[in-house]
Amino acid sequence: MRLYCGWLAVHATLCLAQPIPSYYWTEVESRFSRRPDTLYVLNFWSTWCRPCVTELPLLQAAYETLRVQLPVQIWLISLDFPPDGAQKAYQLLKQKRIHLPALWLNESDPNRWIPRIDPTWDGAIPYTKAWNVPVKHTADFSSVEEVMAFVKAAYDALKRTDRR
Amino acid sequence: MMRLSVLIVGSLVLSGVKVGDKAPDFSLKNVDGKIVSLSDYAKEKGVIVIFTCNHCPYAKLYEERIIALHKEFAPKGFPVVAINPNAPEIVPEDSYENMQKRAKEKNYPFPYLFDEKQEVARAYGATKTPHVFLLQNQENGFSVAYIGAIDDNPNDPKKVQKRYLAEAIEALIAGKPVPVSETKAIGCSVKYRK
Repeated sequence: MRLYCGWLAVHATLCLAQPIPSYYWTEVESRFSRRPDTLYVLNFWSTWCRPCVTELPLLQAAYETLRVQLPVQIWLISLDFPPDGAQKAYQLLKQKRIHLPALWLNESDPNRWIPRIDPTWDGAIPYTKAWNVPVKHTADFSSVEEVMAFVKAAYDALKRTDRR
Repeated sequence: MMRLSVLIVGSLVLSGVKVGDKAPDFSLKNVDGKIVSLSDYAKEKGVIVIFTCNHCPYAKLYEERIIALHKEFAPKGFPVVAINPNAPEIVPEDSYENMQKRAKEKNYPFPYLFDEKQEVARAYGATKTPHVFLLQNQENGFSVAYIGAIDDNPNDPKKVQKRYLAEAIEALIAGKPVPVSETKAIGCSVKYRK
């Protein structure tokens, strides 16, 4: 089922009627390099990863508070397996009422893309990284405050990069 | 100037081993109740240490391939030793009793050890399951020759193009340098006690 997510969508949850898009890594790179003034926080997760699923509401709650303060977007990048990974991720987000933007990564070998985001990340998830900023979180978040502190630290780092 | 420092917020910092390091010894309880130590393998050419567990979908996807690796490489001097590093109070499916069940169901031809205190996983720096540490037996003991993934396609064994681990073992057997000594793999985080 597909519904428009633009002006026809009167409520954010309606947007989720559209299954999450599938991206190759190169598309991820171009997607998040468009607006250097926006902080993109990328959360790598999977429906089968329990701590990942547990922290989704924390990410959403932090975003709801921070969105009015900072130009930030928190993206959920699903690493669920093909062929139905995007569908599984979409179903779970819908069920949990998570309306953060999401995409499904269509890559099978992490050695092709992990080194491009962070050569020191060995692939354990959950993993959260600010795009183009060397701020990351290599475990699950345990509170909304922890997510907010992370996003603020990332934003400060982004601002420092801007000034340079 | 580029900022090279990376800010890691609130994460567990594990030191662990690097390729070339001496392999930390271990003595852990196997599913049959007996203690298995790295030193038991002194006559082998090496050991394939794999941190894995019962519950993780990635670990499950690799179960059959780990059994096949043992069958292929144990006769060539590289047997598999599987170690479950997860705290069962965090993931009950990874308890010792459940390990025993799984080993029996799947008829594991290799030891499946319980790292109850998580000291071995910490010493190696295991962060996820499955996480491979290929050890090479040299004159002065075991050293780490390869760290990372089993191959390049967890989801579909038929679509595997690069058998990273197998290629590393074959290189060691041939006395050649390991072509790729570190690889990335997605996996379930090791459930460490905080």
